[in-house]
Amino acid sequence: MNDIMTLSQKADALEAKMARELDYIVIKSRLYSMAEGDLGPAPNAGELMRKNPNARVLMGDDPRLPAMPDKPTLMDFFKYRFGPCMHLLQSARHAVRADLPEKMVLACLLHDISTIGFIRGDHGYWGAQLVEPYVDEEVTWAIRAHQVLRFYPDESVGYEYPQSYITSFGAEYRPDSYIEEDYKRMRNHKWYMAGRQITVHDIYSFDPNVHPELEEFEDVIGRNFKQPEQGLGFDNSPVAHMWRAMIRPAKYL
Amino acid sequence: MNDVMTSAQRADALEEKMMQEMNEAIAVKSRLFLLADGDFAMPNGAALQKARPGAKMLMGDDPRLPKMPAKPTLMDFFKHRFAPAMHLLQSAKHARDAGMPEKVVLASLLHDIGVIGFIRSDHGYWGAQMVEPYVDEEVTWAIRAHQALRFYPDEENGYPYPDNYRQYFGDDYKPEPYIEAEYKRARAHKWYGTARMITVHDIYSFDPNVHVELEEFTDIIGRNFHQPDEGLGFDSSPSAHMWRTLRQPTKYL
Repeated sequence: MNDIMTLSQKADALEAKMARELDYIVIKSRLYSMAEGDLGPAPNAGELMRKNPNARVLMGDDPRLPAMPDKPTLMDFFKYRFGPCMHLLQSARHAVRADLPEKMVLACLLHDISTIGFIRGDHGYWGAQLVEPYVDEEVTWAIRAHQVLRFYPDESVGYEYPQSYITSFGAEYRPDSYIEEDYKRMRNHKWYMAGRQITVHDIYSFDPNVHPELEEFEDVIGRNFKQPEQGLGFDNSPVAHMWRAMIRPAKYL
Repeated sequence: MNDVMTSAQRADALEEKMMQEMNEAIAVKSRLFLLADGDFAMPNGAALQKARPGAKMLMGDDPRLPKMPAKPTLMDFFKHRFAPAMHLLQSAKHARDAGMPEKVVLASLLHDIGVIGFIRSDHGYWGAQMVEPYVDEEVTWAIRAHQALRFYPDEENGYPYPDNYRQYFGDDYKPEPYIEAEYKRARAHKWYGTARMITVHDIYSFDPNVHVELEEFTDIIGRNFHQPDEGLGFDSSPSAHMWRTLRQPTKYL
C-alpha cells in the first residue's frame, strides 16, 4: 500500500503520525528508569510542553497498548497485558491431571502472573499481593511461598532443585537470607504442602507440543477467583491501583 | 589514548571488555517496565544466556546502581534510590513552618515518594502502600487520599485547583470515576483535614531559592517512621518486597 502513495499522501501520513505522537508526553516512572540503570532525574514535563504546545502528559489510555474493557476481568489481563502464559497453562493442566483440588489448580495457573505481567524480582510476593482480595487465603499463601520453596528440594514429594536454576544462576548460587528465613517459617506452616504443590507442578521444561488453552480453566477461575463487578482495578480494593498500573503503566500521576 | 594504542593493545582491551561483560550478570526488564515503553517483548533468559555464554541471570545487586547498606533506612532510600526530593522537602518545610503537627509534616515529606521513587501512575496509592507498616494509620490514609483530593479545590481551606494541572492535563481534563468516587469517600472521612493539608502544603511552584536539607527532618522521621531493625525490605512486612524491588529493580525472579 505504501508503494502506491503519492509523495503528498506520504507527507500527510507522516504529519498525521507526528501529530499523534505530539499528542501525549510519557514521563518514565523512577522504578522503570532504574531498571535501565538510569538514575538521572525525570525530564521536566513543563519544559517538554513548552516545546510542544499541543502535547499533554499522558493521563488516560496509552495509545501504544491494546484498549482494555471498562470492567476488565482476569481473563482480559491474560489477553491484553500478560506475556505468553503457556508455562502457567501447562502447570495448571499438570495439577488437573494429578487431581489436585480446584484451588490448587488456580494457584498453579496464577503462580507466575507477576513474571509474565508485572514485576519479575520477588514475583511470588508481588503475585500473591495482586490476587489476595480475590482468592482463598491459602491460594495467596501458596503463591507467596512458591517464591521461596522452589529453591529448596523436598524429596518426599519428588521435588529436586531445578536444573534450570543451575544454568540461570550458577551452581554456586545461594538464596538471599530473607528467602532462607521465609523458608524456615514456611516449612513449618500448616499450608506448607499447598506452596510445595505449586513447585511440584511448576513445569520447568516447557513442552512445545502441549497446548492447553486458557479457556480450559474458565470454570476454575469462575468458581475460585472472585472477579469484582466493577472490574479489576476499579473495586477500591487494597490492590486496585496495582491492576490499574498494568492497564496504564505510563500514566503521568 | 586510543590513538597511541597498538593493535595488540587494542585487541587486549577489547578482550578485557568482553570478559567484563561476560562476567556481568544479565539484567532484564520486567513486563510492567516494558509495557510502559509500549513494548510487548518478553525477555527469554535462555536465549540471552546462549548469546552470552558464561553469563548468569542477575539475582543480586544491579552493578549500575549505587550500593545500599545491608539494613537500609528510609534515609538510605532517599539518598540512593529516590530522585531529587526538593519538592517534598519544600512541602514538609511549608507544613512545619505553618505549625502543623509532626505527622502532617511527615505525610508532606512522604506524599510523593511514589513519584520520586517508584511508580508515577496512582502514586498516592503506591506511596501509602509502601509506608503503611511504618507510620500512623492517619498518615497512610492521608497519603492515599491526596491522590484524589488534589483534583478538587477547597478554597475555604486554602486549596484552589492547581494552575499547572490545567497546563499539564488541559482545561477539559476530568478525573476518572474511581478518583471521583474516592473523593466523595474522602470528603466525608474523619481524616479529610489531614489529607487536605498535604494538598495545601504541596508546593507546586518549585522555588529554586529555597534549599531544604533532608537532615532537617531526621528527628521527625525518627519519631514518626517506625524504621524496622532488619532494614526496609527485610522485615517480612506486607510491603517488604516493594522496598526490595526498589533496591534491586532488575532481579530476575
